[in-house]
Amino acid sequence: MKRIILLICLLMLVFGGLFAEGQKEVTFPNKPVTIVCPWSAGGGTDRTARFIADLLSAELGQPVQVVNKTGGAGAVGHNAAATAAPDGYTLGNLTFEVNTLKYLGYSDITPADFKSVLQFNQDAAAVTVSADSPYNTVKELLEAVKKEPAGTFVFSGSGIGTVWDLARIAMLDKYGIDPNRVKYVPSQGAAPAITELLGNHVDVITCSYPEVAPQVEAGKLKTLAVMADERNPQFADIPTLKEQGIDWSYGTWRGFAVPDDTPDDVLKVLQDAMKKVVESKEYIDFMNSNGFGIEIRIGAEFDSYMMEQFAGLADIFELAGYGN
Amino acid sequence: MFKRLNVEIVIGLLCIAPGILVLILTRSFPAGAASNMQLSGPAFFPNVLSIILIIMGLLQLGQGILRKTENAEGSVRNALKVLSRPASVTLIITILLIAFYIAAVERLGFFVTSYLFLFLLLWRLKVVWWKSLLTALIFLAVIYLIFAKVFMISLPAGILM
Amino acid sequence: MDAFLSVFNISVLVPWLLAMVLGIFVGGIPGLTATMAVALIVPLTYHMAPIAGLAMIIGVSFTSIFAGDIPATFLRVPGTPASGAAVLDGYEMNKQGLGSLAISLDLVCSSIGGVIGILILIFISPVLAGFALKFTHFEYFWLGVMGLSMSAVISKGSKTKGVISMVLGVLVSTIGIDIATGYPRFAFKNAELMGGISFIPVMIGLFGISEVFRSLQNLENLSESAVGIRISTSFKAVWKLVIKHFRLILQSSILGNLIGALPGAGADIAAWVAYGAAKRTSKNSDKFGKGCVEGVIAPTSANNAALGGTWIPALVFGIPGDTITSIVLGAMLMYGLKPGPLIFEGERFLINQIFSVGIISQFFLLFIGYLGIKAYTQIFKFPRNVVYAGIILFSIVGSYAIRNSVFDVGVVLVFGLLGFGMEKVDIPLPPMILGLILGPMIEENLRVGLIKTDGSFLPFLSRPISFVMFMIVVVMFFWDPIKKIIMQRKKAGKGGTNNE
Repeated sequence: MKRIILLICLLMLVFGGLFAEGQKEVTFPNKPVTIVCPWSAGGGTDRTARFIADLLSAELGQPVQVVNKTGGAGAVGHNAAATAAPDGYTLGNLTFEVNTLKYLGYSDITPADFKSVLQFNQDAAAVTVSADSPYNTVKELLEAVKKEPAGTFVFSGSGIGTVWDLARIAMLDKYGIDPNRVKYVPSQGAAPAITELLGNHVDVITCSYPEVAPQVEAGKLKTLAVMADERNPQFADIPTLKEQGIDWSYGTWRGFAVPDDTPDDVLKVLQDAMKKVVESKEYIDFMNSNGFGIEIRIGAEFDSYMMEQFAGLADIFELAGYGN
Repeated sequence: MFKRLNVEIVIGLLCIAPGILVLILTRSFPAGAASNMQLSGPAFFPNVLSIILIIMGLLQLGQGILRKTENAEGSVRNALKVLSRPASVTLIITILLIAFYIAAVERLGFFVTSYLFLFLLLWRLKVVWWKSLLTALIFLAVIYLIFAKVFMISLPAGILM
Repeated sequence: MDAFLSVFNISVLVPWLLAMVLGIFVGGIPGLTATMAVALIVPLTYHMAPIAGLAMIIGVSFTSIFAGDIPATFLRVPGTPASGAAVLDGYEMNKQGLGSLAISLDLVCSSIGGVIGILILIFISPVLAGFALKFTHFEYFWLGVMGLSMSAVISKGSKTKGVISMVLGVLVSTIGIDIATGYPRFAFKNAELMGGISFIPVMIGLFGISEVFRSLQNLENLSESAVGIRISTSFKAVWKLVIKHFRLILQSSILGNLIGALPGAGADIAAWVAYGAAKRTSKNSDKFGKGCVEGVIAPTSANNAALGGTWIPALVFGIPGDTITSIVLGAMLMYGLKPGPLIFEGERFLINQIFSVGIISQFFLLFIGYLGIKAYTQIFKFPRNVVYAGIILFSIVGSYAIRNSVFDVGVVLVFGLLGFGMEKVDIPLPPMILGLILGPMIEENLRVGLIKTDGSFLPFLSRPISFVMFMIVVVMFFWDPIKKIIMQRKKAGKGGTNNE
């Protein structure tokens, strides 16, 4: 008898749940929105995502939470974002690495699996050496790389096939140097690479300028160039590669996107809210005080930017000999 | 045959098998991609490990074969006997419940799955049924408060959220 | 002195103490980590004074690393990665009914270790930070080997089985993306496997869940309280032990602090190495692993001292010493501070405030930790069956929470079963954990080091620090035979004098 009562209780519980689900949605959004962040809590991407989530929540009138799905050099998070229900309640916080997953054989996800909301940040790669290095411009450095025997120079910056590694490979190639003339010491992110450079265990690192800025300002390191189209007004005394005659700019970026099958009206709601967020003073102040660059590309513009970059990577991966 | 099969032999075999499996799997690994050395390739380390594992497995195997199995201690049959005790049934049910949790939580959601899981487990562990219902509810409330509210971890939503 | 007094301000004290209480939860619940708590706290601190935010971060990290030892001691469930070594002797003592003594001793040693760690940070951090910068792949490789050789020290019983356990652990650590080449190993196109097997769910499964499984096999007394003995502590007894083993506390804290100061190693490795070193240098090393106080003292002094160590590269060079300090460096930007080498000169007052907070936190830790133990032991008033069910559900939800992944819950189950099986056939578990933690350290540093040297092993031996570390490994390896010879000589000598 007791068991029967129990069973009825349980069944009621389960069906009650099913009925709750049965009610149709009225307007988007009417429940909490989730941002999937492919990088771990406390990192740069996570911090911007959490900051934006707060502002977005005010715009949408619904809670916005950040979920960290980390691992596999971004494969886990990007996979989760691409395969989420296409209802607009799950946003992917895409980063540059979404372009590389297929080439590296980590996942079949490409930018084509997403519909863009917008891009909100871009940070150019910078070439940094120790302060007592004899080279004062990228040209001097690269000439030396050309002249000295292969394997003399040791580069670092981040892991294999990451944005800083790819930026380095293409830079060397643009200057007519075989990327294999230098040794590349893979590291788990920019911080350990900076440590290696400070300890004089490597010669050159490529990573974003804000990451090395404290060391540069303290006179321990010097940044020779940034791989951007124009000088950044925040650190205007650092020349670009283009000024030094090397036609190459590259960097990482962050943006939001939803799965490809998401309805357009839902996407529009998200896009409008997000536009307001990235135009707000709070957002601009936050990015500035953290040293993150602001670059806004909305919808189709962001889509085509990603696809172009994705296509261009085929050559760089070929040069590097990574992946298949 | 079965009589001679003791725990040491089983451990030995259980080491040799994955060792060989790893050696087979690493055959398809590429050579060191960035540089030209064999040593820095991705297969090097797993290969060394699996060879050590196989050697250790052989040592265990040798020990097992040399050992007299007459004394029941350490024989596989003895180990299997333990599994048929009623307590072991509880253990197996617990394991199945965890497996059920893993399979169901993303479909049914955190609340329903956790509630069913806790209730059934408590019940099996001989807590009176109405106490089980209540205890499960309290546990769930505490976990929800700590994880979802304080630590803002989004627990799997399902049919109830 | 002004800096010291300035932290006793209500706007600093309240968030600080709240964060320390939060740390008890973070450490006491498996799966919740201090890193997670800090990431959560940081956005709240943007509108506070920098020192209030930093006090919260320091407070939560010290209490949580201690609180991780509470479930480790009472339930064999390590609450944080750094409390893995605490299950060895702490839990054994608990089984002998000495759980409350073990945890009180643990608390006192934690805060002494913390004080020593901070004192080292205050007085010799520039020297240590410079030393840490000399470490590169070659040295980290030997550090890993040194740690791994501890598995021979800590495992009881058959040597073959110890090696099997260790090799399996290292093998599991090779799953996922290989850092040296970027190749995904044993991943079979699965995104989760690509990310590798995380170490926290493995530890929860291997130690915690397997123990629950084992307990479930002895179904008698299910409705009795989980811990029959009254939880009471005689601080006199604890104090006596602290004085008796003060040299060990000092040794473990210094060792832990040094390891923490290296950007490539943290509190978890510090705890294991200190445990191994304690066993090596102890007179009664055969009692380790059977519930001896020295086995409790060493890891807990070391992991709290290591926290002070992680701030050394962070404050001197602006290089993160671990995940927590890397979040701190990011947060400093939001406070309008420039982390990096300049902060030591430019923000002397703030630095002194940080030091003060670090020291005072250790005293707060004594009180809050004690309350935490008291609160925690309330759960043992519940009947056993309720406690077991609770441990399992908390372990499931906690391991899910680490990276929002059901896959990790599966890892807990698999390693729970594996641990259960391994203990049934007398294969020791700790070497497997060590293998999992140190495997990547050894492999990555060996292979990346070889990339640097074009395949030459020479720098692994020829650099001054790497050579010393290599020698330590060799001596440790041959320690047992050497010790035997010395003992025999001594005996022979004594025998000789007696005869005369």
